[in-house]
Amino acid sequence: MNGNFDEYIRLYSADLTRLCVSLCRNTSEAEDLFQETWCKAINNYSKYNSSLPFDKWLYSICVNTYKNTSRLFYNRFKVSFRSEEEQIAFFNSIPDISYENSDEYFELHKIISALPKKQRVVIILKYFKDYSTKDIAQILDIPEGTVKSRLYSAKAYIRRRLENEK
Amino acid sequence: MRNKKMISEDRLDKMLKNYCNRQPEYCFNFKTEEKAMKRKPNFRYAAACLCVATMLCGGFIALQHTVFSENSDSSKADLGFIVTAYAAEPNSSNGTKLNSVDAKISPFIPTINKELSSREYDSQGKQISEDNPLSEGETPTVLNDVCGLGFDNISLEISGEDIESFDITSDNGYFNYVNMDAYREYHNNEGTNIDKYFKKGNSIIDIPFDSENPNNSIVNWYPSSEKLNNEIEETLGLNVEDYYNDYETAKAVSPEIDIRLQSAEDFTNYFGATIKITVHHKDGTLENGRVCITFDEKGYAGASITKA
Repeated sequence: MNGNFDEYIRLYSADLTRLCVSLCRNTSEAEDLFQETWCKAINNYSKYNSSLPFDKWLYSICVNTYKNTSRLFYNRFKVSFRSEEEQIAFFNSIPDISYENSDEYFELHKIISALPKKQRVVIILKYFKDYSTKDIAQILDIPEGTVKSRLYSAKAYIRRRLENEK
Repeated sequence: MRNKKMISEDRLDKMLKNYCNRQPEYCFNFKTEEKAMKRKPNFRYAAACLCVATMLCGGFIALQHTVFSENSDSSKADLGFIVTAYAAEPNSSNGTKLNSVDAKISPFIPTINKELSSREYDSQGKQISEDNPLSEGETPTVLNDVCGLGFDNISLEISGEDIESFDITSDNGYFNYVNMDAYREYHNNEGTNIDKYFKKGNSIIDIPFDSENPNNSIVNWYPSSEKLNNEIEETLGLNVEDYYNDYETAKAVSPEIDIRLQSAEDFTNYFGATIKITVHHKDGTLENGRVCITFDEKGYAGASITKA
């Protein structure tokens, strides 16, 4: 595929939307991240190395942009739904959501939103596309052992919080 | 007493997969400069645009009463502009006007809670380790319950008459601005050059003013921890971002935060800002205003607006 970004945008926007929505706490943050990611991808396409699949390169830009936006380390507990409609739409979009488990997913949303960025990113990448730890290490340009460690810590924390909420 | 329910590895995996694979009803579109900004009503911040002019301190940006007065007899030279500041609460779709009693923008002091030692589970999700408090010298695996500033952003709405465009700069924090008309075109636009619709930074110039769509004249300001982070990093010689991932870093950083954030003045020092707004009128004249973001003794953010 050459630098015809119309085609890239057509092919990858849906998945990039999902990634941005998962990473960010609300829709407007997700939209900002989406736009910035494409901007950077277009502006830096000359640096793209085709040995890495385009989607991984794109998601790498996305998560690095996300990690670098605001070093406000006080942002941890802002679980934002700007409106009831946004909250309803969020939960309606989760596969297998039901009346019985909706509270559980709401807690999961809060817990994941409160995770440190580094852990949240690896969790999202792992389950968003079933990426292996090797894939995630490649996307984030960090050692695979670090990915495993962060995944372990994140899951342990999530499980502990979910169990304690019940 | 809480009824604790165990969650197996498979169950957790399934939940995480469902959560991360949720399909939003929309797909974002990458916007292009080829699409003209059409004048359409935008409802995104409709709730935030209903408030009246803000409280003022130390002076007025010219003639806000005149703007709202039906019996105004002001000439063009007397016309000014109005800045209305809102606190965008995390869980509210309505912006809360700053300095009102209900504005919940309270900063918190970060703390570290000691965790119980990690539990271990077998493949069936059964806990196989004992649930004991941390022993001497043992560190928790994950930090949590670190609190912080409780507000997302402050929205600044510019309004007035005969305004062509405006510039906005801040000495702390950063702005985020999206042309709302472009957002209404969102599902129909594709392409490049997002910069025309989306601006971010501590200075944004030439924001076009649209008197028919006041939503286009709202700029969001976000606080920044950079000043505080830089100071702590210089003091301790470590990366503050590791705060959340490394217990030892957190132990070192937390007292430094406590020392620095003792009072409202301290919060103002680190997170407050002076925002300058320059309005370009249609007759070519310029007018300057200043918005100061501060914190009071209860930790509520306030916006005082003066003529620059």
